[in-house]
Amino acid sequence: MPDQPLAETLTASADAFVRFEGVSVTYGSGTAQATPALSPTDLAFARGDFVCIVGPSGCGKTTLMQTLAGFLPPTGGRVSVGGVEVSGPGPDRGVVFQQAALFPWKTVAANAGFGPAMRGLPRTEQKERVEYWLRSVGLWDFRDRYPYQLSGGMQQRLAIARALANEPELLLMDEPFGALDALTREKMQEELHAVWKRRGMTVLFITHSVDEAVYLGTEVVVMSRRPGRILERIPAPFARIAGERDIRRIKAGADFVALREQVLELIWGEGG
Amino acid sequence: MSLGGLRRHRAGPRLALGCVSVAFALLAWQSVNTFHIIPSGLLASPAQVVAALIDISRHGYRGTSLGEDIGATLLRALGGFAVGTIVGVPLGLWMGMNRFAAAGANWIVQFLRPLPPLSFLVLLMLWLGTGDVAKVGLLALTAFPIIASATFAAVAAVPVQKIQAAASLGASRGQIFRHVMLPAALPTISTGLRIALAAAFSTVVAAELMAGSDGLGWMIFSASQFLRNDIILLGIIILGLLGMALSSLLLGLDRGLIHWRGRE
Repeated sequence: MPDQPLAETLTASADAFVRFEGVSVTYGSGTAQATPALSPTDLAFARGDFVCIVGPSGCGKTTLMQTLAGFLPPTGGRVSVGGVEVSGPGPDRGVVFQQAALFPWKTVAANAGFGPAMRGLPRTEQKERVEYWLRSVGLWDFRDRYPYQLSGGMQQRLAIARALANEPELLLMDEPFGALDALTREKMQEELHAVWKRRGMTVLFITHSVDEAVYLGTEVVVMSRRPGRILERIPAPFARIAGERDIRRIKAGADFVALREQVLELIWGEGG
Repeated sequence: MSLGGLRRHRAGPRLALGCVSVAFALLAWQSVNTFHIIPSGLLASPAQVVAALIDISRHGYRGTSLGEDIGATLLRALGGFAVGTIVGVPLGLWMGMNRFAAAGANWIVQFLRPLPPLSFLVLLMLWLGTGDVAKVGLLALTAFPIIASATFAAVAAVPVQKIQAAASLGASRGQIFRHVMLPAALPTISTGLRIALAAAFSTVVAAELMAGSDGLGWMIFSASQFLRNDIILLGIIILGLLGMALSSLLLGLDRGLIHWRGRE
């Protein structure tokens, strides 16, 4: 990880790593059909945070993430990572979508190693990273298969391994477990949490599931209906302690249930 | 999956059914002859066609051997198809990648695509002569708009998330093109190539009917002037078999190379 220049660290207040400053998005702006998707939004978080965004459908959560990924230039405001303004997609920000968006013409290993190969890392390092990440998502034995020969959960694990093999500072996840069945989903939550604990990367995670957000996040950001804005930011303690306790026991605990109900009430109050 | 089961029949029964239907067609043909449903002077029997095949294989037809006629037709069809591919695929890719290229070229391509190629054969012959250049040019004009349209559509249909995923993994524009756009578009391009080859093949015969002194189309046309319907039928059968062979060759290449077709 490159050191941040001191001056930028000082101008960026506190220890913000990712900053949204007055970021707004209007689709088709300047035309008669202009649709505001995101109200001017300020949000900053630190290195190592696991920020979960929840909100009603179409509230602009994905739009917000896309400005950070560099897929969508904001209509107003600016997005920066480590003090550098985002101007397009880049390998410092790994992205995982709801649909795994894998490359079915490449083997599992070639999918996992896509980023390191495109960036021209030394061959031995490419191999090491592929093996490390395929082993850590349990797909090493499937390395010579093709993505379409994997189950939905395995495909999503491969998409995560592909993003992490680049060792990005920031991982952006847009409802990555939304298409999985409940059991697989909970297993994946546990595995993702374990990886985050081990690697300490910064994560922006978008989900419909309040349960998922409260379990995974160090912070839960609740957004309003379209055009989206941030209603409330709620610190969540479970990400820091989980891993020592079993996922089912955490989710059944009184403090977990209370926090989940608090977030749900905010969303229900929005009529979402 | 039950649907997968539906799509993957075993080869044995399929082969048998194919043979049965061909045998049935041959039997029907023979019956038409045997019971004189069509006067025998107007429809040769299967045996007469086989005799014509043996005769032409040995002595050729009006100065050209059967191999030469087949070769001439094949070379023209494949030559036109090759030129159409060499022009059509890059143009379609460029149109798919660049909206200015798309806007500039699409009307021309869409204008050419539905035109019956034979409608400009005479013009081509006036400009390029009655030889093979005009014929190959005609077939290239037949194949190229089909190939360019299919390639354009294929590139435009590449899922944006795959491109975004590649970009966020650090791929350059050129790498995205080579490693994502091209393979994602390949199944549709391949389908376009098969359709274009079939179109070129059916046009080559018509072109040979109008001008030329060799090729299967010429052989059929020439035989029809002498009412040699055994040779007409022989030419038709050889054409059909050649078309099937070419088509299944491309299909085999497609199945062998594009293993990800239809799979996510």
